Amino acid sequence: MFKPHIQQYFFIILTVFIIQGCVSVPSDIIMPTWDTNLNVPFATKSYTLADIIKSQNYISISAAQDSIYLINSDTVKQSVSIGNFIKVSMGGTVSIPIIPTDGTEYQLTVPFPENAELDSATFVKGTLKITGYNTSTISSSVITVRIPGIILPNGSQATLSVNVPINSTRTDSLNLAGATYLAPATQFFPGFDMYAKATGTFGKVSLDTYTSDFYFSRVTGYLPTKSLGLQSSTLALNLGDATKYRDKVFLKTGTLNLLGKYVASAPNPFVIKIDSLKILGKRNNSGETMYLSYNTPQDTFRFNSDNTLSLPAYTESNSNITSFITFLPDSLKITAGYIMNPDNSKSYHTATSTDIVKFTSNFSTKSFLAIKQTSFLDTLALDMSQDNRDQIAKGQGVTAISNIQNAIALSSWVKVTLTDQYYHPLFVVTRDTITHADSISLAGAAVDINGNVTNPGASTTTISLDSTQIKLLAQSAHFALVSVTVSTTGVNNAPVIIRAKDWIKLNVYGSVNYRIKGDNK
Amino acid sequence: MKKIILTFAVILSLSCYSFAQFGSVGIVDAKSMSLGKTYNANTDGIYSIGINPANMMFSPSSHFEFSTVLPLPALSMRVGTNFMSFDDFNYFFGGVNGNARYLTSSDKQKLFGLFSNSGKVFMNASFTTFSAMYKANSEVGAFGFSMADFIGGGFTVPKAIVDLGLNGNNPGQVYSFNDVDAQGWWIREYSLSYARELPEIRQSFFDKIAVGLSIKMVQGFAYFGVDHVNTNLTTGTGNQLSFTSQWMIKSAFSSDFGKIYDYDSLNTSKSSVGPFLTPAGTGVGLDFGVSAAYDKVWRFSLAITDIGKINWDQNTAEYSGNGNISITDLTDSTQRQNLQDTLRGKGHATSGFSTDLPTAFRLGASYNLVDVIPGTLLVAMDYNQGFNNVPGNSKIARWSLGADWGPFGWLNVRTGFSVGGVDGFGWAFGIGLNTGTLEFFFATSDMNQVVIGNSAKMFTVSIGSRWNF
Repeated sequence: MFKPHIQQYFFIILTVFIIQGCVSVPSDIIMPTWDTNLNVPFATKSYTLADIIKSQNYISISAAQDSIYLINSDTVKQSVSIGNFIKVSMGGTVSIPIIPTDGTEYQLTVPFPENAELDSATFVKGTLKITGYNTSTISSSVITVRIPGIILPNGSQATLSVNVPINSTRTDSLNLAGATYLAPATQFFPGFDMYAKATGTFGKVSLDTYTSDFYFSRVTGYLPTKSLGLQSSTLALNLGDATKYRDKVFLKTGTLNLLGKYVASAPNPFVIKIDSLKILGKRNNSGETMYLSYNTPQDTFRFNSDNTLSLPAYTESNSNITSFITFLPDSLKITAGYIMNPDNSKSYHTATSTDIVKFTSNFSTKSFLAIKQTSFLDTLALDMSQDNRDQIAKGQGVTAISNIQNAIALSSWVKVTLTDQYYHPLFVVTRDTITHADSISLAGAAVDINGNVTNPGASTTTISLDSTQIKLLAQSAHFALVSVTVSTTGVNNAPVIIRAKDWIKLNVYGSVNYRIKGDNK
Repeated sequence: MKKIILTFAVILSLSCYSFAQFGSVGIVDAKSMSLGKTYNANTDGIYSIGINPANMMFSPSSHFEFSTVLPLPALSMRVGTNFMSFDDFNYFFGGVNGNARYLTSSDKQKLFGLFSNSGKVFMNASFTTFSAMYKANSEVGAFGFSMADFIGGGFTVPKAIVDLGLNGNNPGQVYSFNDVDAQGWWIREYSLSYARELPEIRQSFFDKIAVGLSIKMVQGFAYFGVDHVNTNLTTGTGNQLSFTSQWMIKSAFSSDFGKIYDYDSLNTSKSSVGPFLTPAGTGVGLDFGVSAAYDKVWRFSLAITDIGKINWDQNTAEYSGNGNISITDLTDSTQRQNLQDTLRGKGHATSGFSTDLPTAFRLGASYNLVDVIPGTLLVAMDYNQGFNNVPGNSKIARWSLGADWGPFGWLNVRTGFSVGGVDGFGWAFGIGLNTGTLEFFFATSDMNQVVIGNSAKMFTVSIGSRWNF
């Protein structure tokens, strides 16, 4: 029994030896590494202009109307005070030949300057001047006048007395500033009633009253046609980045709306007319100016019965609006003369010194333009995580072919330069492998003579990055300097139509030479 | 779920297309393994169970034998691939001076060439905990019992994946992943066998004719398998990537493994694996065989084994993906997510499914050469034909030839050749030591792999012992 057991053990050992000894395996399994080419679609996208041009402050899209408002100003508002006060200045003299000296009052009606007819008024400024004459050689005379309709700021009736010595003349005045006027119910004639009496004997006492330069902060009644003078106001347009298009864009359409509103603080205001309206655009930096004007001169307008003033919109057909918007001013200066009661209507109205005219204005140009060849620069930060950078670093080479179908009548050239964190250029990404041009060209759509797109433009570009460039991209690139040069495809800068639904199709595909690495420890 | 299935794939994949006494191509006991898996007309005793129970009648009368874990467990294991040798493995995965090997174009070509006949990875193991047989006499017959576990699995790496990984995707080329395959299970069979001679058949041609029958109770503890795959990738104009993806995986796991499925969020059970698991599937199998002896030196055998199914009805799931996806824009996260969802698929619980047992037809003949060379020499030849391709079985017929030489009473030298099946050619070698009461067996069915050293792609080890009384 023993011997067979020895032999059995021998065969067991032999078997194990055969199996174990004839095979060697690595102590550590190390995954190999290799390069492989992956042919992948990098991007296939279709954009409409409405997608590309996101609505912003001054460029907006109306996809529903298939319109692009390339420049769409804010609605700007400005208030123009039409006068610090209402003035009637052309005064006159009214005389009382003989004033009784027996204590009875002599009544007369003194007209307002310029024959205004007031029902009520508040004086800002005004003077009532009286001159008394005393022909008596015996006694002096005291002439007293009172005006029941005028209440002084202290609440008392306007009263003025002048002591005229023997055979003399004396003048005195009453300051009406702050006084109010309310026509008494018993007053039937235009002007204001004044009562005068005198003391003294043996002579003739007479009186001259003189009124002029009445300034009212509020007045109700009839005022003759009156110019309130030229007033001007400046509206800042604040077009933001839209000013980048200055001197680069020709616009074929444009609209400017100007709406006025006469805002009166009291009901039943006077009718207002404006004349000599001028709209002046101004660029802040250069000081250059340009007037906006109708083709047929027209500068006089009347407020409607609802106190609104609606000027015909300035359009490309009735004005120089396209040149004006192309000029892209920073501000609008609106100057106008204001005329109150232009028809000299006798009916009563109210005017106050706080009455204003509010102007509302905006302008826009709608997707019909020509762009000279011009460039825009932008700097984009490359926001990549370290993991992203590590994955990119495994790339050994990239070849990308971009096929672009462009149904927008804009040609463009795009150059992208990668820089390090100090903006030192690393390399140009957009170098065409075939033409060696350093920018990608996007042919714009062909257009007919009316600027309508006839055929989309087609462009093919091949870009290659080698392993050195990919490493630079992964390790050092922090910014991309993007230079975009655009021009419209119309002949001789003829305007083209840009619509919100115009599209561009992008198909970028190619191969990535990728290094496969195992997760070896 | 993917990780779990993968883990099982690796664990179970310590087997695939072969099992002990299992199917037309499966690994078998050590003695049969040493004969190139030639077993139909030459096995006897406990080794007849699962092959042809009628062979139990060729043991002596009043004979009792059994096999258990002592002194040597009945264990067979086969590990390897059909495409990569140890040399290849060392070359590609051994590094160069401690660094990863950079694959040149010729390296890539060589590596891709290894997969020209598919890339199968497998590991199979079988373990018979206990088996016993008692033959009373020719009238009463013989009785057998065995309890054996079969663990096996494997997967086929699709050639297109290797091509894509190494060489990238070429525009216009269709990359088909339909050859991907993965299947594995862990099952346990309790077999009860009975055999007897048929003296009722009056004939004088054969020395004796015996019939046998085995009834098996099968318990399944784990299963995963690719039900179908129809997935391909095409790179079109503009490098557009078009995926067609239709696939389904079925699985079932014993509840003792705890939570397996990712969709089963309410299941919080923990793994509790012991020697007797709650089955996820059960089934009944049947073996039937006839053997006949002729002229004292010939034996002929015919059997049909493993007729039956396993019904997996506990903890079963289906994972599937279905869709046609086009990637036209890598920057489009929606496209990427759709692709990911389709390729990953979704899982859900099912009411169950069934898998066939590895039903096989077996035919064999053996001849005992007496007085030709010193000692004893048995020569046997088999034909095994599987009726399905479940693990351990193959519809490709397998032929084998084996020789068992006993120069001394205590030593047997065995060898054999096998062709066909899923493994193709194999040269087997083994020895047996017989102390009378106790027999030991050591074998490999892939001696051709052993002798070529590091050029080997697989190795097989089989050991066992048997007590005879």
